[in-house]
Amino acid sequence: MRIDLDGECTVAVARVLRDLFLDALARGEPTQVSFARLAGADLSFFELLLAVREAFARKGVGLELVPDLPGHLAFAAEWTGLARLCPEGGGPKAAADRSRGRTS
Amino acid sequence: MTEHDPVRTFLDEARDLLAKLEEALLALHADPGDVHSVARVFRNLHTIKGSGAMFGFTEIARFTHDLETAFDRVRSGDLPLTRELVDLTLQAKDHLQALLLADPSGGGLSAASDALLARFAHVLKEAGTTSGQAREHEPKPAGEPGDGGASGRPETFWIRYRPAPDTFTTGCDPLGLMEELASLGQHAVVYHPGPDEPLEAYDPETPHGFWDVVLNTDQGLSAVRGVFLFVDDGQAVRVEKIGDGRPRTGDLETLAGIARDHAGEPEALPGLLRAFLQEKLAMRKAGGAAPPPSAASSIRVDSSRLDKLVNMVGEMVILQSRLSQAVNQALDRGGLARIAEDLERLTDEMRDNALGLRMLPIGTVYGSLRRLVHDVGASLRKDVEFVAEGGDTELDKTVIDRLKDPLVHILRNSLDHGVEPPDERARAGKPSRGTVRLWAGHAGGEVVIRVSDDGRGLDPEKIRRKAQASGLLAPDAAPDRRELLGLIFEPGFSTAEKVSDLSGRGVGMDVVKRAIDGLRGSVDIESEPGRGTTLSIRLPLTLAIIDGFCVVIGRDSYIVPLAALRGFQERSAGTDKKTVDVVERMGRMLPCVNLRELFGVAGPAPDYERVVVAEVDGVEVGLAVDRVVGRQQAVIKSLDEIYKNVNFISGTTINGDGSISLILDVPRLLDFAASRTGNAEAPNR
Repeated sequence: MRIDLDGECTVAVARVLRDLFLDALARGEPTQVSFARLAGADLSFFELLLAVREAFARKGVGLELVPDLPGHLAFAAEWTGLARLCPEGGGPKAAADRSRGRTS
Repeated sequence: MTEHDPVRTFLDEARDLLAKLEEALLALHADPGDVHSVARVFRNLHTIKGSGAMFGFTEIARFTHDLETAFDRVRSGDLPLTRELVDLTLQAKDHLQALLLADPSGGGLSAASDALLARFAHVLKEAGTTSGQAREHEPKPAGEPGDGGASGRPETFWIRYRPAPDTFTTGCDPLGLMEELASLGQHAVVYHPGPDEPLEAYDPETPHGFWDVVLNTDQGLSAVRGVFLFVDDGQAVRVEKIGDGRPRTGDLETLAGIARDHAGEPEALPGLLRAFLQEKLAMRKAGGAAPPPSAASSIRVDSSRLDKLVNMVGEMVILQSRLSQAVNQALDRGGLARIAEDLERLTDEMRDNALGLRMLPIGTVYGSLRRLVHDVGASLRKDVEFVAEGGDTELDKTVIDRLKDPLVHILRNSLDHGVEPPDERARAGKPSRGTVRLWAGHAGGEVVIRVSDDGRGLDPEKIRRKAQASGLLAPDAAPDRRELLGLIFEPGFSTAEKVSDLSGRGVGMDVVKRAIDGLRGSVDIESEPGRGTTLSIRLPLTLAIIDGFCVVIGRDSYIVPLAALRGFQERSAGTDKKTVDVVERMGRMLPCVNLRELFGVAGPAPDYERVVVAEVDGVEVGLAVDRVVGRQQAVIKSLDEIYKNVNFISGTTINGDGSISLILDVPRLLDFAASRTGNAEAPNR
């Protein structure tokens, strides 16, 4: 199963998103989640992703979070421990690093 | 606790910090505008809190937190520094001292902590209402790190942000805040997700995790706090400065790692981070350029180890002495002599080094004495300035330890009986503020400590009447002024007309004298009625080893401390011997004590005797002996309790052949000679 998230993933749709992932988990199929078309996201979204990842792992259901997060969300991903969502090579990450003087 | 117990190290350091805290508070008491002392108070509180938390002294960390906050506000000019606040902080310092002895969780002292904190809260509240209206001063040290404004100097902060449960409903954007925070400087972050829970039960509309951020910035504390201006409800955000300077790139990551590993210990975490950073900076500093020569370094050494080392040196001195004697009996005298010379050189070096380890500046006790004067002055409603000078004068640690109580007695007496109340001083034409001065310095191989006040002084006639009434002085006795004043050191003597809780109970000055005698020292008093009193204490530099000169009377040998030695003369022994007579030296007549007579030494006297000229405080005295032997290092062994009343002997030493020499108490011999010149009566031994 593949889930392509798009638009604004904020607290306004947080419950809907949780139910979406619950359904996917209930189906027991390996699930792939893409973020390429995300316009925006807040802390509730990234924390939900962490909870989803744990829930899938607990049930032994495969979950692939595709590293295609748009660059403007790289900071949020990194600061919530989800830096892997950013594309390999760290284009946005590196840009963010350069602009903010990050150490790692 | 083991020898290297970190808790013991913490306790030792905390006591040092509390002493420094007290010193700074007393400086503020004298000068509330002293911004450097404000900064010192804050730094000491800050360190006590941090290290207390690190070592599990949770009550100390809790109690100190509010104090630190108060002085942080004083530093930033947000809170006026009142005398009430200083006095309360002094009480808080005493409470912290008690907490160091209590269970780390506070034991039964938590209630006392709360009571003091409540008083703090009251003072802060009062101050808050007057802030901006009647500030006594507004200290703001220029460039002081963490002073709230942009310091312009890099500082490292630890920030913990735990978004409140209603964060999303209030429209707050925690990630936006984090981004703003990150823009302030170099940083490393660790995000702690919320607890695991089934996805079905997961509430996606409340925040679950929190952040620990280590940020190095030159924007100052206020910029950091400013990020959280609208979300800091007192619970959500915690900011602690953990160091100055600019750490290396990897250091911030390591700090974040420490935050990750100790996330559940928020009280201990700042201390851990601070310790790591300090260690790193210290290591780099140590590896860099040598410190400037003026920078004094110190080391904490277990005093039992020092005592052991000094004992070993003592034994080595004895061994060297034996070897020197063996030279005279050996065949290969040249070889043995070289060994003896080498050993002597080594012994001298070891002695100086070992004794240096035990030397401490007397200023280490000035802080507590300053506090004593402050407290006693306040309780007596006397305005007293305490002037302490010569704090860098070094003394043997043992001497300093044993000197504290006598100094406390002397200062209490000065405050209670010496310095007059302000109205009495005004009537006497004196400034209303009295002065008690403590001076320390070197004189003639000894350390001299003077405690003087500008109070009412001692009345010799009053002393005479008291002494006669109490039977200390015969009705027909005619003591000179010095002897009269010296009577205050007699047991049970007091001129105080009423007993206070401080002094005047007839105990005190005799205790002082006994304590000083026990240190092989002497105490003297000078006083002018209406002008004040000065007590002078003379002490040996060390209690362990002295350079001496060996002299012989009959079959016994004695040591004259080299520091007092001025020369030798020879004279015909004569037959009509007095215990004290006179000897001519360079056109002057000196009193001369015939030690053979004084000590009742039996056996034939030589036809010609040697006179050892010694000096104490600029006054010379002759000491007649049978013969002089030579220089000798004397490892001092105290006299046993049963010999403590033996006059004119301050200790013993073991010679190279295992025999014993007695060390002459030159100041007492001089006093005796001065009082008995022309009198052949021998004193009781």
